[in-house]
Amino acid sequence: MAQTTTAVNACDVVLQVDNASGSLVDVSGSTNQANLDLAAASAETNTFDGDWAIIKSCKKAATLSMQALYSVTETEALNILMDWFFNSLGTSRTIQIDVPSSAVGGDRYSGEWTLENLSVPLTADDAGVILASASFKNDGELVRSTIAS
Amino acid sequence: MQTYLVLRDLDKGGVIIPAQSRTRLEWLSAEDQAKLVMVGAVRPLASPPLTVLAGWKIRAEKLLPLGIETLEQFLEADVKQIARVMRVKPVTVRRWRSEVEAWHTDDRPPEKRG
Repeated sequence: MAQTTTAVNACDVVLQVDNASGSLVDVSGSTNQANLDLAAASAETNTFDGDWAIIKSCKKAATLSMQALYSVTETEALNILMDWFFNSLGTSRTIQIDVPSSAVGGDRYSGEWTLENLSVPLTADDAGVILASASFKNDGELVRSTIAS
Repeated sequence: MQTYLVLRDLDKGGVIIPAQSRTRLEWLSAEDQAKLVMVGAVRPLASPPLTVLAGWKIRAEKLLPLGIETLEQFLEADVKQIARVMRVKPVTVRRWRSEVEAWHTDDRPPEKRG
């Protein structure tokens, strides 16, 4: 098959996270990386006769990580995540990712997520912006749809 | 206006239009409709003249005075008005609609359809 002409990059990805009120907030201006990992449970079995394993898989799971700039604005990523950890840990929130952008035809991944980890590295001689890392596990179905408005 | 078969869930401002449903995408520009076709999210449904459907030649001629020529126009037209012109019961018109809807979503070439 001929080489693709529709490859996309992540330069204009839109990332939105529910705030404490349950409203999606566009945090694209205060995040710069996200990793969406999709997995299936699988197991393998061998028989005496065959040389190759029989592999079965089922069930779906997803993990998400994102990198947020440490900013002091209440409505930006870091503070939304801090509020989630300190004030409503254990509750799931909606996170929505639009790839390659929010334009019509793009992919939208949306689901409920639990916050698993939030790391804030602080280094004395680093002049760069503090980049916090957060990781999540999906709670229920992750939906992939096509943006149509 | 073109009707599309939804192949992948569409997100219209938070409202999901599920796969296998039909939509006209009337809120989108022609360019955006084409984009959804290009990414494989929707497929345009054919709207041939009713005369090409097997067993529909005479019915198609009787529907012409109502301005109904294509499959799409037949599906959109008022059931009671069609029933009156065709001198049949509305339930019969609805049965005809079910028949042509199956044709509408059949993606085989026209010559292979029933």
